[in-house]
Amino acid sequence: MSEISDAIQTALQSALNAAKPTTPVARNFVTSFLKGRAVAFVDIAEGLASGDIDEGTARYLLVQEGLLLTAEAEAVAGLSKVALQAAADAFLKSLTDSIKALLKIAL
Amino acid sequence: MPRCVNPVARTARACSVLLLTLGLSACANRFSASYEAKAMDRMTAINAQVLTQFDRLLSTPLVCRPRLVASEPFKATYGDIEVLLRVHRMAEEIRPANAESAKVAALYLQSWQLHRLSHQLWAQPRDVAEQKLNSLKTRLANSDELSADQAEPEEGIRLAQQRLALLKENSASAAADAALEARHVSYASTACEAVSGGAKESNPRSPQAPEELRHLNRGYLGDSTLTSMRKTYIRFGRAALVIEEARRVIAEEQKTQ
Repeated sequence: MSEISDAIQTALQSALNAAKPTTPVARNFVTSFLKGRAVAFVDIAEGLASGDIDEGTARYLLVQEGLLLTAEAEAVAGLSKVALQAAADAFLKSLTDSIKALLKIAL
Repeated sequence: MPRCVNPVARTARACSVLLLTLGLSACANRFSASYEAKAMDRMTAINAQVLTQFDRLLSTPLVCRPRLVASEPFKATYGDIEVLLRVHRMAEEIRPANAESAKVAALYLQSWQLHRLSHQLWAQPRDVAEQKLNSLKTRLANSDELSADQAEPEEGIRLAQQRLALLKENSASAAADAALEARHVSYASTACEAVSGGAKESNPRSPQAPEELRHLNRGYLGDSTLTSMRKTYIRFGRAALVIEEARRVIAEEQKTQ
């Protein structure tokens, strides 16, 4: 059954290749997400310290930051699932194609 | 292991492998929805409207922002954007394997509702406004939970009591601060008339600036808060688009293969 092992190896490689295109999108998003968080907190703290915003407004902005953080974390989870889906689709397609090819030989 | 040479057995083995593979394909879990251009278009349109609203606010003199926020055509833009966000959330919710995008859409809507209310509360003392915003936040956060009519009797009574307390708290605070609110509204209106008539805008950061002007500048309609909220919505927009963008990249990649 070494043909089957080869088919699985090929399918795994296809899965890895299929998930790769999402990496730059995910990397850019996560980088800007982390930078964005740091900047937002500094902005709120500076605004409060300089008297540009009052305490109540700062608390409001922090509430909004909390909602945004949850949304961005969801987006990161969503990105992982997109990559996972691409990998799963490619894996099954490659495996099915290989086995179909093997069967033609076998039959 | 003895090698199977019987053609019937080989065929049977091959067929079972094929069936297994096809079975795998059919039973494979759907982790993520496929790309939908309409979702990207919807979100891009919402982002454009949100940023346009912020640009209009920030390009208006500080003392004239309350008038702009209260004006009918501008007030309608808050509602228009909220409707678009609701439609977007509904559309995202009905797509299978799309929980994360639906959650992002729900949070964007929730944030927008808070933003909309905060602009209506600009003239109120911040602690009162904050209390109202927090009440709304609690209501919004609990809106996905069990509602009173679906709950067990004891749970229903508890929820009803909580809601009554919330309403009572809000109405008492609003009445107590009506005079102060009226003073802020009157100040902004007079100062806006003067600025529109060509008078120079006072520096809201100066210690000599009237208390009403300082309150306005440090609140929800001030430059710092609006700039910060604009950045927040740019990031919300990005979070709402990024999953669809990853799906688009994968779909493009699959097309070229």
